[in-house]
Amino acid sequence: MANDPSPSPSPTARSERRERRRQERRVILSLSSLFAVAFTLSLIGALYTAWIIYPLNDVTASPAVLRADYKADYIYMISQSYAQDGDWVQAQDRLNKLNDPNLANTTLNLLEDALREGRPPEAIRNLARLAEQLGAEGDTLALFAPTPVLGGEPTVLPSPTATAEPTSEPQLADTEAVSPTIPPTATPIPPTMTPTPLPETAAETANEAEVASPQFRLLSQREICQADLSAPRIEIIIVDPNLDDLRGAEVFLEWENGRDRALTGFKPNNSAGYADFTIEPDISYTVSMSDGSATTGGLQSTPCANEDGFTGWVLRYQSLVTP
Amino acid sequence: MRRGIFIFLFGLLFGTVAGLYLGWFAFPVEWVDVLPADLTEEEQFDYLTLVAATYTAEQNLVTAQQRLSGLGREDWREWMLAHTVDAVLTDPRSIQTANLVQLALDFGLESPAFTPYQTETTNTPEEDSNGQ
Repeated sequence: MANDPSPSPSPTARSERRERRRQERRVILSLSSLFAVAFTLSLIGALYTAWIIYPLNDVTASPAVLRADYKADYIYMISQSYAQDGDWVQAQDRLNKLNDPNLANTTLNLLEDALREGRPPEAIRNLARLAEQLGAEGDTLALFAPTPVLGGEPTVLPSPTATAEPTSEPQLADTEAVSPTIPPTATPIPPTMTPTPLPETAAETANEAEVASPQFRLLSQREICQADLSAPRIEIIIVDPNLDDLRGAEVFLEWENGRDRALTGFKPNNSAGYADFTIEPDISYTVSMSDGSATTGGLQSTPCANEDGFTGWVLRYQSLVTP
Repeated sequence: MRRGIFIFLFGLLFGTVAGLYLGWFAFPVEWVDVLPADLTEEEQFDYLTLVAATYTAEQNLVTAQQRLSGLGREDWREWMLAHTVDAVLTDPRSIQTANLVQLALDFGLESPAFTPYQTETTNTPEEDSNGQ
């Protein structure tokens, strides 16, 4: 035993080596733990910051992510707004924000909900118009949104409906408030005003009862570019309390030194409630109804913003008297 | 000891970078079921315009107020007044502006900018000049 050439390490040395390895492992383990703890803590903190405190898209919430009830109300409000101003482009723009690929059906469902909830008839009708405009189909829709018969000109909007209940007391303050804001314009006397009046004989043949409607309200007033027309004009669309076209309604056009009149329903290519006046640029016109109500002043034709040509006006009125 | 501190700081840095990347880019916040109060300022104004249009149709001030309360603004009266005056200044003849003014007036808001909207339409200066 004493002559062994390769003496094995003593038990003490072995145990020291083992202890050293154990310590190294412990150090590595503790460093790993330290890293893991630091990593986990900072990860949680960073996620909290990124999701709760400073979310990157904090200011990009759009109507598309509104709660379902608000989204439904949003569509409902769009239908009411569209009924007033007839601005389909704006309505579409608003509807597109909802990112609803099945918007027609959504609106149709909304219409059915509105019927069950007993919403006002006008609101239902406006919703039906919107659903129809979106291409929805169904018996319910056919019942509440009969296809309009307005003319096909682009300036005539696809039959937006009125907003006030026709059978209720008229509330004129809101709609008539538009015209007083229009500043008066001192303009020279029009040299060659060539409106397109209807002949007296046509007036005589009109339905007297409809012509005699004593009160009207302005539903919408839009200035549009009429670059495609040889001369700008003011287009009038008049509907009755049931929002059907009103034939034979008398409309007056006045300017600084002149006056003209027309009756609706005598343009074969347009709807029964349609009439128009040819106007000249830079002259201020006022449109009024037969009883002097719903006067709309300050209507001027000005050069179009982006095209050659001049602007004209589209005015929608509603008779408040049931025929 | 120094190595431990270095490892700890490295862990913090790595965790922070990873967390921000995951929270902002890989899995950003997706809004669902938000209230009108969470809409952008521009969308909130458009919402106000729609509320005004619907109010003109319904003439229901309570419902209009409920809708506006969804915006969650404590200063909604001042906010509405400011936006309505802006609308009068930028597009006085539009029906939307008339709706906004009508709603503001019915909420009891006042501004000199609203005065023309309260005038009788039959007394327009043009007509007066024509003697009609």
